[in-house]
Amino acid sequence: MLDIDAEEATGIIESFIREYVEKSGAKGVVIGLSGGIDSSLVVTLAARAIGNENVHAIFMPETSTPLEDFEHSRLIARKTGINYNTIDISSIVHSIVGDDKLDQVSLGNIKARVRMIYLYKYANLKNAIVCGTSNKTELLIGYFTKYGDGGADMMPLGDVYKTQVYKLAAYLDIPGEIIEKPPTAGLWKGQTDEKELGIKYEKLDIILYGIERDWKMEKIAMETGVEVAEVKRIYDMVRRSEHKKRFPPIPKIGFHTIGIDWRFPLQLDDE
Amino acid sequence: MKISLVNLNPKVGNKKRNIKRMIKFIEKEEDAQLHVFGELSLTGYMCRDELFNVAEGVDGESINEMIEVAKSMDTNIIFGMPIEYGKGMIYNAAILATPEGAGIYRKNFLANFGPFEEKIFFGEGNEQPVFKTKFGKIGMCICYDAFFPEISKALALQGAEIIVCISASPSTSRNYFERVFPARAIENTVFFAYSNIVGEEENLVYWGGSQLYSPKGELLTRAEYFKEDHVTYDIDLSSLKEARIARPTLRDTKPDIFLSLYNLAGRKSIFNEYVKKGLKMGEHAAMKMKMRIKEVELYGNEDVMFGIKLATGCSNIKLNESDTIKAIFRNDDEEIEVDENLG
Repeated sequence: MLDIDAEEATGIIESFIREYVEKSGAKGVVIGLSGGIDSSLVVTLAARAIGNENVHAIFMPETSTPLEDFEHSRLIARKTGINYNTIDISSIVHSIVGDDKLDQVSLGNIKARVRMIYLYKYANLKNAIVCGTSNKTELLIGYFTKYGDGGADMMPLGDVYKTQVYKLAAYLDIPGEIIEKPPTAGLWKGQTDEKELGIKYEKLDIILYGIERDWKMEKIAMETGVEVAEVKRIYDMVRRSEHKKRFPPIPKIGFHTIGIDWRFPLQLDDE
Repeated sequence: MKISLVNLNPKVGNKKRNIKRMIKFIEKEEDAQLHVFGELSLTGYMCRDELFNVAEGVDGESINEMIEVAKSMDTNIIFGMPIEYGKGMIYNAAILATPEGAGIYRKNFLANFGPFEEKIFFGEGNEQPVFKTKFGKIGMCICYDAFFPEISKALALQGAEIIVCISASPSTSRNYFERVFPARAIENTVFFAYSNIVGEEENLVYWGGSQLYSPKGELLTRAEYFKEDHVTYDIDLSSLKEARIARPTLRDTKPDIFLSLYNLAGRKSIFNEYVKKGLKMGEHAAMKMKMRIKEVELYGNEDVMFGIKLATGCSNIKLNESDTIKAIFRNDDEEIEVDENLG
C-alpha cells in the first residue's frame, strides 16, 4: 500500500523544485543538512533539479550531534558536489538557554530554531529560498519544531511517507551507511525516532495511510498488528498537532481573511 | 485534418506571455488545422482570486487576438480561459477560435474536491454545444467533464466527430484520466483528443501527456509526460464510417434511457427524502414479514411508492395520494401497518 513509483515521484519532485525556485525569482536553495536520510535525499533531488552549484547545504552540529553525522554530511555533499558549510551552534544555543532549566524537548526546539535562523541568513546572503526536509510522516504526527525545521519555503518530501523516503533514497543511490543507520532527530544524545515515538516507522506509516483513507481503527489495527489503543494514540498525535500545519488562526473581521479566504495566487507572473 | 495537441506550460496571470507561447507552438505546425492547448492555458490554472481580474468577456481582447491569429494563419485554435458573463460572474471556458469567430463551451462539471476549489470561483455551464468547422464537427469539454459520459454522449448525439477535452490535471489524476479516454471514444465512436498543461503551480505538478484516441479507442499519439511538448496527427474523418459499422455504439444509443435516468436518478434518487422514507418503511416491513409481501396499500406519494418498491421488490402497490404517510403490507397470513416513523 505504501508503494511508490520512484522514477515518477522523483521526476515530480524535481520539476516542483526547479519551477518553484524559478518562479520565486531565487538563485538557488539553502538546505539544512544533518547527514540523515531525509536531508541527504533532499540535497540530491535539489542538485538534480537545479544544478549542484545552486544548492547550499549547511551542516549545523552541536554537542549532542553524533560523530557519524559529520562524516555522512561530508559524504553526501561530496557525492552531489553541492556547496557545503559547517556551523557549530553549541555556543549560541548555550547563550539562549542561559541559566534556565529546560526539559529535553524545549532545548531541542531551541536548537531547531537556531538552525532555521542560520538557514534564512544564508538564504538572504545567496538570494536563495529555504528548502525544508520534513517528510509526510513527521509532518502528520507533528514530530517537528514549529518555526524550527518546520520553518521553510517549500517541502519537497512533505507528501512522501518515511518508508517511501527509503525507496526514493535507494533509487537515487544514497550511500548505504546513510540509509541504514537508525533515524534520529539528533536533538539529544542517544535519541532515535523510533525509540522516542514508541513505534516502528513501517507500522506508523501504515497507520497514517489508514487514517488518510478514513479506515476504521479496527481495520488499521488488523493491518498493522498493533492494538486499537495504539492506533488511537497515533490518531490523537495527528489531530493534536494540526495547529502546526496551518497558518496561525486569525479571527475573521474583514472581507477576506488571511489563512482562510484570502486566495491570492502564490506565483502571479505580472504582465 | 492535421491536429496538434500541445502540453503548454503557462505562467499564472500573464496572458500576453501565454498567448506568445501558444503562437510559438502554432507556428511550429503551420499546416495543422486545429491546435489545442490545455484548460485555462491563457491564464494558468492556479489564479485563484486573481481569476476575477484576468477574466474577459466574450468580446474580450484575448479572444479577439486569438481569432486574429486563427485568421492570419488560416487555422483553428482551442484554448482555455476564464470568461465573464456579467460582472463578477465567471466561467471556466474552452474557446474554439476560428477565422470566422469564436465558439464557447463552459465547463459543466467543476472540480471541487481534494486540491480543487473551482466552485468557489466559477459558475457551472449547462450547455453542450457542437461547432461546425470546415473539417468537421467539434464538441469540447473540460477536464473533470471527461468522467461524466453524458457530456460526451450529448456532444456525439449532436453530431460531434471529434471531442476535444482540455485539462489542467496534476500527476495524481493521470491514471484516472487515461482509463476513461478510450471509453469515451468507443462508446461514441468519435475521435477523442486531450490536451493537458504541464509545469508546477503551487502544490500541483501537471502531467502533460496530451493524447489522441481513435473511434475504436486506440491510442494514436501522445506527447511526453511532464514536459512542454506537442504531437500532431492526421485525422481521417472518413474512418468514422468503418468504426461506426464495426461497433455501432452511437447508432444504438437510446436517448430515451437518459430521460428514464432523469426520472430515476434525478427525481426519484435515493437522496430524495420521500424515497428514503419509502425505503425505510419497506425494509422494516420486509424484515417483519420475512420478505413475503404480496401487496401494499400506500397512503403517500409516488416517491414513497418508489422507495417501497426498491426495498421490498413488490410492485403490487395501491397508491392513495395523501399527505399523511402510512402503508399496509399484506400477505396470505398477515397484515402490518407502518407509518413514516415505523410506528
